[in-house]
Amino acid sequence: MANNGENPSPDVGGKTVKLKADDGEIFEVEEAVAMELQTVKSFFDDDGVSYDTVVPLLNVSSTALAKVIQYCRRAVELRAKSGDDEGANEKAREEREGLEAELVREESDEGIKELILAANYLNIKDMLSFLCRAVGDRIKNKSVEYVRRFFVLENDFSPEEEERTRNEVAWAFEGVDAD
Amino acid sequence: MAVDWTQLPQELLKSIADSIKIYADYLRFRAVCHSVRSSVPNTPRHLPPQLPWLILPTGQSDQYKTAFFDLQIARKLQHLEVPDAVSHWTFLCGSSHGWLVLLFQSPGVLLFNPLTRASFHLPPFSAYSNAQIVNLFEFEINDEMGEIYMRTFREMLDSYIKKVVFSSSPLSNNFVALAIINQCDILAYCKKGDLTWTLIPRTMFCCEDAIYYNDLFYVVDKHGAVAVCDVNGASPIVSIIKPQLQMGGDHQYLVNSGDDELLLVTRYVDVQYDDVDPNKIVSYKTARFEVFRMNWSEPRWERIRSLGDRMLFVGENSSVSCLASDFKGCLGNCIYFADDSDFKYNSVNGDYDLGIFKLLDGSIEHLPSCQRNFRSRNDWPPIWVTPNPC
Repeated sequence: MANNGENPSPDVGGKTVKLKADDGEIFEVEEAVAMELQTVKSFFDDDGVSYDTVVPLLNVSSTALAKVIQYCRRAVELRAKSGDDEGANEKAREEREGLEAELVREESDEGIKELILAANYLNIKDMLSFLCRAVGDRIKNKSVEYVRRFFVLENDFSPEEEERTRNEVAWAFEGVDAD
Repeated sequence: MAVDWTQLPQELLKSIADSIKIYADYLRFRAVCHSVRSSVPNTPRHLPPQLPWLILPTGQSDQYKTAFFDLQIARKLQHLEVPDAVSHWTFLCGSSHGWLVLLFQSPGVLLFNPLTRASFHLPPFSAYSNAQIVNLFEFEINDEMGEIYMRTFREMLDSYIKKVVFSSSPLSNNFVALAIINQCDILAYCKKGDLTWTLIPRTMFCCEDAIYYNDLFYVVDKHGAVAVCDVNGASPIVSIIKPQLQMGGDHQYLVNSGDDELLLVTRYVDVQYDDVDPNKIVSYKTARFEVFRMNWSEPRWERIRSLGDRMLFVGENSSVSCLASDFKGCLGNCIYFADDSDFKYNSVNGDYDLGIFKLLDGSIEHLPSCQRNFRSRNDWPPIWVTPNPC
């Protein structure tokens, strides 16, 4: 069972779940954290699946999974801190936003895209939401060609279709940042 | 690890599109490729209010009669395509939620969306009114006090409709419009599907501006008193709030700050009269603005000296507030103002009164303008309109 620096051992006595990334690396996480990943939750909701079963996450790299686990762990902690107290809620919300901003700030474009796909596959709504917002920010005021390169998408419009689009809303294609 | 995004589920592309806040970014995203275009709706319904365009007469030949000025695109004038049926014989008197309010000579009310080029009719003002058309160019107005006076059509256009504000786009089911008419004394509203305007019994005089916020219309008079109008039920319910201290100034505007605060913006104008004819105005220029925030507990208008990152847009339009950091090429802590004089369609010399007032130092930066009535007295005067795809 792999246990590198990014995956500190959970507390002795708490229930844990084992998650396996696409390269075979296994992460042992607290049950509460693992259930943040709806895909994992559904996996165990099926009858007869024992909590000892290793969950195979074939579409998620170990780098991405480590970051997801780190985020979810902090999110669970912050949620436990908030309650009826408006002040505590506000503080927890600010800390969560700080956490999201930090995660996003450090990531390259490739990294963000990989995380989005992971969050989508693992079905983590909140994480997917702020990652999509981050991508929205990264393509803000960028040209169509830049956005294509960002997502690695080919232009499959015919020249006529493209010209028609540009003429209809010519103003939308001006004033973009230089690539 | 390169990823094939053409294999992405549509929901993911849609989630990314939903996080886009600027309409131009949305259009460019849809222009990327077929799979994005088919996953992302043609008309976005989630966009926050966009940065207003300034609609301007160009003073040029009929083909390029109207342009708009987009503050973000290196301040370049863009040609605005307006169908002849709309621009011919219509007179601009307001804008709200991205739709221009146009009066016909007949008089009917036409709404036109300059972004989508859609149009929509509202009931004509004469349907209820105290104004009778006497002949093609004159109206006879019966004042509630029993007085009768005449107005030319052009005088009507300039001063009869003070302001029109909407609750939402006219295409939405809950659409309500509120108008301040007969210069500033009558409030009338109409809901989607109404055949006539309904009058609100007069509770306030000299109404200057109105806004829609949280299901209610807020109307301000020239002294700063506020009428809160609830027109959601069968009959209108109005309550008046009289803040301590009367306000001065030449125009009052109400703006929703965007942070749930009600702002009052007071405009001070320098007017110069002709040496020979003291009734003739030769210059009409805004000198400065003051901004106040409503303190509901007293109630009182409290002066504020800075808008922070906010930009306010005032004029004949329904007032708008935006954050400068959301948009390129924009300056916060400013009031972008367009002409709001009472003689846009009459012969007065000089340029339209437009500009950017900076609260920081009280200076005014000019916006491209042109002579009033330069080319044709039917030219639309400058007005702010928020591009709205809905």
